[in-house]
Amino acid sequence: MNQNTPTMRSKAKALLSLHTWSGIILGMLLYAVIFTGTVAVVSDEIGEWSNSNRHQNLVVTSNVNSTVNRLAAMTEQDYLDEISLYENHRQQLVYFFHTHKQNPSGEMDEYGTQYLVNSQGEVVSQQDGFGSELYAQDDSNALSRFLVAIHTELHIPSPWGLILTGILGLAMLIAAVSGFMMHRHLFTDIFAIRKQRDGKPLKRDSHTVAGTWSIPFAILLAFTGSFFSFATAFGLPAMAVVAFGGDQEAMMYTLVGEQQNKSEAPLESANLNKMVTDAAERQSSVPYFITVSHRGTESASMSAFFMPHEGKVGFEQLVYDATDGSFVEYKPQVGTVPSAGSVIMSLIYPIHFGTFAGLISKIIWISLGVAACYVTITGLQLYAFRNEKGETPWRWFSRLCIWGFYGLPLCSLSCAIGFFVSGEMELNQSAWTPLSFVIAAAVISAMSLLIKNLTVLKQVLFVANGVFCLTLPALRFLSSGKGWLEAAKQDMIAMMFIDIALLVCAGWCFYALYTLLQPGNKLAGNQTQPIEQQEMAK
Amino acid sequence: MTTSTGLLFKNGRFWLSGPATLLVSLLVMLAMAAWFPPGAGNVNNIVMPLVMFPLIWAALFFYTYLANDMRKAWGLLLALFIVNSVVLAFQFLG
Repeated sequence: MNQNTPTMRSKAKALLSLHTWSGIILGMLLYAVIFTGTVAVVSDEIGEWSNSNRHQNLVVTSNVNSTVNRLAAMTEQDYLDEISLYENHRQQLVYFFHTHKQNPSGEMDEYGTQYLVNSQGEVVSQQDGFGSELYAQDDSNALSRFLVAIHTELHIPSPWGLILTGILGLAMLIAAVSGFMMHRHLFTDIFAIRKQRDGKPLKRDSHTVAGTWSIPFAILLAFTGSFFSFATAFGLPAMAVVAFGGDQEAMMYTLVGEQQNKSEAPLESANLNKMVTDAAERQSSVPYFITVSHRGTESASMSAFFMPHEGKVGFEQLVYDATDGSFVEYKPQVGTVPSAGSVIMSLIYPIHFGTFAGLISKIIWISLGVAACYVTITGLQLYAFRNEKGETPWRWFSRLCIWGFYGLPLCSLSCAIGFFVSGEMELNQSAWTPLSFVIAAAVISAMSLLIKNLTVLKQVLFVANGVFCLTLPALRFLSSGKGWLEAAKQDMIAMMFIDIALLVCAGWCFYALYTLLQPGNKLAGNQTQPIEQQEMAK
Repeated sequence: MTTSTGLLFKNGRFWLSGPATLLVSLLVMLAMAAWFPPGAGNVNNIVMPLVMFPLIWAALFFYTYLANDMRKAWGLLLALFIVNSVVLAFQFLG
């Protein structure tokens, strides 16, 4: 024993204490953010699945130029500053003619007229308002938008939700780094489920194994996630104060890489179709978003945005001079010329959401997300086991764990059911999707309070999760009439992927239920024993 | 519960690794916007502090939490606080 041994031991103890408390204090919220984050990885796919649709590449196949000309003639002059254009999940092109001004919350926002145009070029809807409001009322992405918003700000008003998720990111960073530093046998721990273990020891081994596998992933996600939250909540305004004397607009112009004052002298703009086609040919892909600025003036420009493709990790933006239709540059994500800052910014989103290699990277990210959920669950359960034997209040902690761990997926499935049912009944899907979540949360909370036996509560939640997972593909089919055969013919990979994922989850729920019902099951540990049995055992 | 909360607030390490570390990390982030080279794109001094903030906080947190000598840790935080405050003062007043 050398002199350093007691110090090392006390540091290891301190790290264990830090690891435990960071997990316990924020564990349940952290689980909510990790679980919904895992779902958010496939938010685009959920958008396609919930509408039983796939993108028709209308941006390149329809006559965008003539539609813009037609719509511009019927739009207020003030809103012609900028036009954004993308395809939604219902085979419609969304044209938003807008200017920029402060919204009622005091934030700079887009304001103007939004048109929904179908594949035949007919206007199916027209609405005036702020961009943020119009986006929040868009029924086509009501489900994916709601699930993503839980992940990003837990539906807490801005900026507090973002600050809370930022703090949760830092807590995850602490738990992951302290977990890494505590490991004395990192590589052996990767395969360290020891034989003849059950109950709490098995859970501890499982926690260690899943945690070890997901440490690099957890550190990466915690870091990028806290960056997103803090940068949006207060980082950018703070930077504007220091670097631009508080002028947020000037900072946004610098970041976007645009001149602040542009010539508004009239000049006819070039054909949009040609520029969009050229961009699509250069990238061998279809742009997911187009913006046209200062159309009909000397400063007219068009930007086409592309998702990462062909081995590239970051997003790409092509800029055109819209006065003559010539290609100008591949623009960095921030600023006017390539820089370390723009490279980092273009990498952070694909790394956080796993969008860099299509569905493959998303599946890997989902798997690691599930592992991180499992680590959070087992971590909290371990703490509950440790304490519940001695003190009655800790039984409530076990109950809280079951309520949260099995309740949140059930609430998420319920909001998807609410989305489909309200769609069928021609109700407001943007309102009924979150309302279904709240109703499910209230029912699950009541059940968690009323069902005294924890095993029964767990079984009920497993059954409900399994049944809802089975119901959703059926509901989707009934609402759209699109089966797998048609989906396969039309190459609707995303729709089939989500259907299959739900069926796999249903299978897992019923398998877990089956193992719970087995006498002396190993996975359940002492938590599955009814309280009365535990009392008798004492 | 009340006793443990009271003990937590009396614990010097709580103030060192908690509020003090957070305050200094925020200050370092803000000051970075003033001294970090903006680069050719004129954006590095905005982006890098935002990206570095979680890393700076984590590094300071683990250092202050695990430091055997708390006075040394307080000293480091104080030095960072003074240096970055001076940078910010020059930015706003100078």
